[in-house]
Amino acid sequence: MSPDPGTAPEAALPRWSRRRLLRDSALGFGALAFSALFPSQAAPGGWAPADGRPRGTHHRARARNVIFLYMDGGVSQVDTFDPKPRLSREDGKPFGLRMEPTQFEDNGATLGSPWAFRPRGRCGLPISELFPWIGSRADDLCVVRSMVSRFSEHNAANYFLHSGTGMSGRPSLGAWTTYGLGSENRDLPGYVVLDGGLIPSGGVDCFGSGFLPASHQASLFRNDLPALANILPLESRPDLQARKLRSVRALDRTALDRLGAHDPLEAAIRNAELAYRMQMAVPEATDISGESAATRRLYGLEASSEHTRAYGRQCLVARRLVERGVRFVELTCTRAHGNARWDAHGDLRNNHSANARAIDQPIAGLLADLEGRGLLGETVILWSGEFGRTPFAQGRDGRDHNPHGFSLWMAGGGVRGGMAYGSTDEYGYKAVENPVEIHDLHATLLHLLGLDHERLTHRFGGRDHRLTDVHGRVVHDLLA
Amino acid sequence: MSPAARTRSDSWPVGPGGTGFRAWVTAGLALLGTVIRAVGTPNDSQVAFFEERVRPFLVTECRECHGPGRQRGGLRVDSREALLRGGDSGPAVLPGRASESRLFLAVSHAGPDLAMPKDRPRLAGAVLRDIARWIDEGAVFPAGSDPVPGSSEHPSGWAKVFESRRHWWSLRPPVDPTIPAPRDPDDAEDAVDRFVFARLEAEGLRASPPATPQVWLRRVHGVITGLPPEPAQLAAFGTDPSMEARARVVDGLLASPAFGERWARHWMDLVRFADSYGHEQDYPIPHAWRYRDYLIRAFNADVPYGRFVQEHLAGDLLPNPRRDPVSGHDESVLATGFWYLHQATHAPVDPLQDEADRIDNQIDVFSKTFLGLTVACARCHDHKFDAISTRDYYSLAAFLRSSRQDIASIDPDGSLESRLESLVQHHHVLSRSLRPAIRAALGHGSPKVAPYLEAAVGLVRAGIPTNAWSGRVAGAARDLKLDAGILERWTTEVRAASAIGSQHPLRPWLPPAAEGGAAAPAPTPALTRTPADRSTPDWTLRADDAGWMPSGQAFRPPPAGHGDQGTWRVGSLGLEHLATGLGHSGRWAGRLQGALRSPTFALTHDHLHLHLAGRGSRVRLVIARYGLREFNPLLFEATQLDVDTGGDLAWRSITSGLRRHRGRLAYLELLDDGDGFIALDRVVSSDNPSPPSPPAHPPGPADGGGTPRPVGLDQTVHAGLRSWADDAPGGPGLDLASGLWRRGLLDWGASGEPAAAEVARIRTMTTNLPAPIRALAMTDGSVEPARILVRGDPKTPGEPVPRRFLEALAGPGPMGIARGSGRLEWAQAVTSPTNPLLHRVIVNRVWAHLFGRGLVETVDNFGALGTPPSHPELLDHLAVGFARDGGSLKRLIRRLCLTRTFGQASEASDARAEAADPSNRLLHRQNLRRLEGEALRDALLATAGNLDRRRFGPAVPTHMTPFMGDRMWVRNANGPLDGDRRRSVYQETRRNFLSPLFVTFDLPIPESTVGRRNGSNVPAQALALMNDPFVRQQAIAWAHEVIAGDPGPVADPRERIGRLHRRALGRDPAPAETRAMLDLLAGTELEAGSSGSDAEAEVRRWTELCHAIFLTQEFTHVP
Repeated sequence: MSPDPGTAPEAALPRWSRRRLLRDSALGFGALAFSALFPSQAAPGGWAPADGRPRGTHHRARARNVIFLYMDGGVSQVDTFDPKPRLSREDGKPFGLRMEPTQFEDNGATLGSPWAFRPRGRCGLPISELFPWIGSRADDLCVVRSMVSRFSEHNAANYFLHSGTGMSGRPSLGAWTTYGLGSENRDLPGYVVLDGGLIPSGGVDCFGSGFLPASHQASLFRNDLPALANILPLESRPDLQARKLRSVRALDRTALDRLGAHDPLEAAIRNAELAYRMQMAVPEATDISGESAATRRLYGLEASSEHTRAYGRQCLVARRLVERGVRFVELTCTRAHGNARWDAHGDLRNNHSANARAIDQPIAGLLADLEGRGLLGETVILWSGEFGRTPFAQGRDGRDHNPHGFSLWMAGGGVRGGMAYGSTDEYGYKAVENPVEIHDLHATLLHLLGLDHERLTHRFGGRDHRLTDVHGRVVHDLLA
Repeated sequence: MSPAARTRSDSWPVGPGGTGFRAWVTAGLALLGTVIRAVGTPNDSQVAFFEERVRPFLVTECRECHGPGRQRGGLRVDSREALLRGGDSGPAVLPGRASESRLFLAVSHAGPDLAMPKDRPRLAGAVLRDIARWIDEGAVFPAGSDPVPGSSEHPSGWAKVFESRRHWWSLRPPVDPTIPAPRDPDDAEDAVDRFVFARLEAEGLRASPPATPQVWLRRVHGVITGLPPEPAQLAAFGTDPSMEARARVVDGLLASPAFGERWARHWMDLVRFADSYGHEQDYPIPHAWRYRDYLIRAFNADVPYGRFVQEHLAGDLLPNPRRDPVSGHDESVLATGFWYLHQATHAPVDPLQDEADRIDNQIDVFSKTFLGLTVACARCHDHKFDAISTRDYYSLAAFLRSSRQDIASIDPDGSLESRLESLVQHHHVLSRSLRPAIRAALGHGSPKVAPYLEAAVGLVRAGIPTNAWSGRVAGAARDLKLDAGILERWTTEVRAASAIGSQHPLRPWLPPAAEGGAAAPAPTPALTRTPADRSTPDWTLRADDAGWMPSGQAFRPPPAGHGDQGTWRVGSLGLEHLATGLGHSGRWAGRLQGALRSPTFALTHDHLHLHLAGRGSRVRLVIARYGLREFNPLLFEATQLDVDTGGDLAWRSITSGLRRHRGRLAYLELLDDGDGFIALDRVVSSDNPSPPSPPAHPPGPADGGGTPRPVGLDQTVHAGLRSWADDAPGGPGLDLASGLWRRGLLDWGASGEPAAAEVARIRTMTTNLPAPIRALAMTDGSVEPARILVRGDPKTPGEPVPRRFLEALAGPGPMGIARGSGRLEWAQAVTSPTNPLLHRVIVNRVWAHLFGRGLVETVDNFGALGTPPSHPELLDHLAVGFARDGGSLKRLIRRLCLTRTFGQASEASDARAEAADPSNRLLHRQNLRRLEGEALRDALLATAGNLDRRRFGPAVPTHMTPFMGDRMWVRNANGPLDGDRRRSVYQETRRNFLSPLFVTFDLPIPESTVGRRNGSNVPAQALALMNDPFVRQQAIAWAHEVIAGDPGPVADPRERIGRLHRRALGRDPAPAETRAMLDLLAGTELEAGSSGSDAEAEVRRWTELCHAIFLTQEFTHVP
């Protein structure tokens, strides 16, 4: 699949047939535009957002949506999902392997994990006591313990994790997803980032659309109301806006009569229509006040920690968005440990405890809630940071960045739950068995969504670009 | 047939239509008939032929898709076995049978599905012949891995590839083509129309009828000034304007200052303009707005394009810099600021990589902007598609490596230069009058020194309480017949000299400190090297060594042939004698500003010791061109020193943290950005953490003999002064005398201070010096050795390269570089009449802005991956004409705006034309265009009668909203919602805080050249127009304005509605439109009457109507 370069995706449809469709529809073009203002006049079937027409899949999709739980700063694998008894045995001793250069070059001794692991779920997957709640969902989790990245610095590693390239300006995974699959909701954007308060290092470029059409960039929702800029009408009464927009529509119709049917004009009018509906849909989708007390408890919205409550709200809104057909939702972290994220260069114990406390119950709640609503089977959950952390200490009580081996997990649609894949060495330092590259992760995620990472291309600057560049392979062992 | 294919065809023996193909193959086979077909042991010449002619082709053209990385269609081409095995469609090579081998058929474009390399014009005939011969001779393919492309690894291969690529259409000189004659030439007054119409006729199409005069008027306003027409202009233009009337309109718009504002913004996209560096801290780019103002003035002045380009590349070096006609300041140098508008990060962990990345961005921007080429692709390997080698890339990098960032100090109005000249003259006069005056004073026994020292020491050591101090000083002066003011200063200096560790020149002359005043100074350790590192001997760089480069006025050396006037300067209290060899920024006046930069040197030791003096100035060690030290010290801790030593030379050291930069190239910057000064004697690089001894000050004369120390002081000072007056070598006494004179400690008695009048005159002149303009600029540095970095990695330097322009454009020979960085010669080569790209690229850019799309659609890429021109002859016609016309952008724009092609209607009214030319490449109509975010905002302000037309100056800070992230601490200013009502071009471009409205409407992220903006079409645009408080604010302002225009109750609002409509859309409303607007007014009436005064209600009603007009598609689209 290689959509036409640099033009509106509608161009993929035969131009005249599409226009004829519009013209021939019973009420003509005007009925399509602002149909929401005239609820009695239903829009013809097959309506699609201006730039979100689903392009179709390459093969049968295993999932329809993605929720990416981004673990900003890099979680320590040896304290979470990759138990290493040898680390504890050699705690405080000189590190047993050659050390690669690190960000701070302040390498200390081997540092055993302060947290115990125990087998969880029917599968018996060992999970650190940092995650009692998530551990209870062990049978859902497909843990990859052999992740590798190519960058040991946040910005580049974040761009790499998000866009497959260690620099800014490339389309992110979410953009590629909506580019490939379009949006399922005519009232909401297809790619939403729920901002927990910490924009990743590297900035919102992590969520950009790069050379893909701008409609594929993420809409950044605040974890509060209103979630989106310019979403609230400024008129003193709601009917005033509707009245005004109806007049605008009348004026536009005469302009169209005079100027002929130009694609950009038609698309802009459809966007105005979507914008009008988003004014209702976005506040509705992000307002959790109608959720039941049980649901709120499930997500930790009544927890004592404000960070648990904040992340719980994000998770709950994520479910509401997925429920409404938003393709790709990413959650950024809260300030559970100041501005440090998971980036525990020192004070590992407090850092990881605080971060884990913020996300543990909400994520388990999200998994349970999705399952209960029948959404888990069609939603992929990805939990990952941009890299892991060193098994040896930075200074005395921290861990430095480690791209040579780290853990992530997936759950949900098409993913094999209750398993661990790949492994690191005895110290949890480097991936030794079945290493998985970021490109492989991307290829696998796209595969789950029914997209072939080699065929999902966009021509830009004279060549076809892919999320995985010239790399990537689908890791079939992770699939159910 | 595409033009690209046509240009290729002349190396192709038969017509490219496909029918001649087989005939040629047959002919080729006949020619090869005598060649031995046997596939035996390959001989050396076959191997050589393969390695030289075929393997480079396989590697550069095929390997990316059919190599180890991926195997499209299951095919690999990197071994004989793989080729024999072939891919999904069968064997690629049948040895001995080229005409049946799929590889050959594919590269020959034998069919639509058999055309390789993919999406590229067919290869040159010579290449095809080589491949045919190779297969026919048995497809010899020695085992072994492919060489990695890179000029050093297969030079002969590159030569071959280069040869096949350098005839690309855009690399050939444009030739003035014959102007075609369309059937109806009367319709086509301008040759442009003839080209366009003839092409349409050839396709059986016709141009559209002319747009209405109103649409035309709105369109020319949009493209030339970016502002909507005033209703008065609309009325004056009428309904049937003559060509003369149209020309007058265009001339008026081109003469308007708004023209430069509009076109400067276009250019800013090319040079990734921003006011800040982006990345984590988003530090400001100093003086970036000066470059923006330069652009506006340059476009308004219609600076010839070649000159404009030269200013960008070498504006600091041009022999006759262009001066602003109003103020007289140097304009040319301002253009060079564009080099430094790149992103930058503080604390790069790998400064060499960081440097290489910034240079890469500079090359990228340079080559795309001025040449329409993607030279930066050749950073790691020879260009995959164009005639650009890695060698070319690093040859360009060499110019940049021999240049440095500067904050130029620019004479604001021409008076600084003349005043400076006059200052130098007066120093000359001063110098001439000093000798006899000093001689005369010495004849009278002046100046008095020792009595002051004795008196001051007595006073200082007497322990006088503060409240009695001035009385006691005055009393002592009276008693001893001394000048009270001078004595007061002496007491201050004695105190300073008595401090522990003082290097004060009076120190050796103080009496023994039995009372504990002056402890003996601790001996400075002698210069020794640490045993740890003896690899490199210490070295010293003196300020008068060759290679230091001044910038600005402050470090201006004395003019040659002026004798010794350079040895005195006027300090704040008195005259000061300068040691020889000092680099001194206050030589002529403290108010002068500028920088002095050392030659480039390698950091060989852990410590740099600087012997210097100064006040309110700085020294910076610039490592690997890293330029953000002034904002953040991380990883570059000690590399910047504030200098405040007073007038005495002292040692300052750059010590901690240098070790991690060992081996890197660096230079020192002495920066005088204000009224202070800085003077440098020398720099010592050493592993010894302490500065060298002995100290610069001479030992005192009173070491032995037990005589009271002041004895001999008068004589020493007098001897020093006499030695200078007699032009004898100045001993230590001269330095001492200078030190005392500078401090105002010399009492000349009745003879008066020598040349006091001249000194006073110089002081007055100094006070009146105008402050310079400071601007971001480029300046020359040392010529640094330039090398290829293998695979772009700074850690693997390869072979050396000369400074040279692209081989494909300037030939292979070295450039004759007279001196310095060579940027001047580079600029000349870029703007040479023989550069085929320069004019093609710019006329295409202008075309794109006027017609919505370029003749070459990929306006920044005229290489193999760009799109070929839709009208190649027209492009060349324009390029040649533009050059002939002296490179006047205004005349080009004027010409194009008056063509019929431009004036066509944009309606998609002809279904047949739309079907035949759906993307309107043939220009069967004008293109409908949406306003860019900047133009949209300007139109909102202008329509609301609310636009402040003030020009130039620092940017208006961006208005911050809660949706722009939570990193507000990074920035220090929040701008007003209405941007001070100034045009968008004056709004700040903070990389981390780009204006949401502009971004929503496709402001390009300022990263590299963007000549063609995205045209996104997203709901956020509609949301912004519906609900952005700024838009609403302008609707309210407009409503107020409209009502204020005819206050009082309006019986029939139709007149008002018409006025609104004309103002916003440049035409009268149709009856249906008037009705729709009346409906809206009527609908809001009920609500409006509900609360508040009638006047308020009236404003609310009309606000909704004004807002509705903003929301129409016609407001945001120019037909």
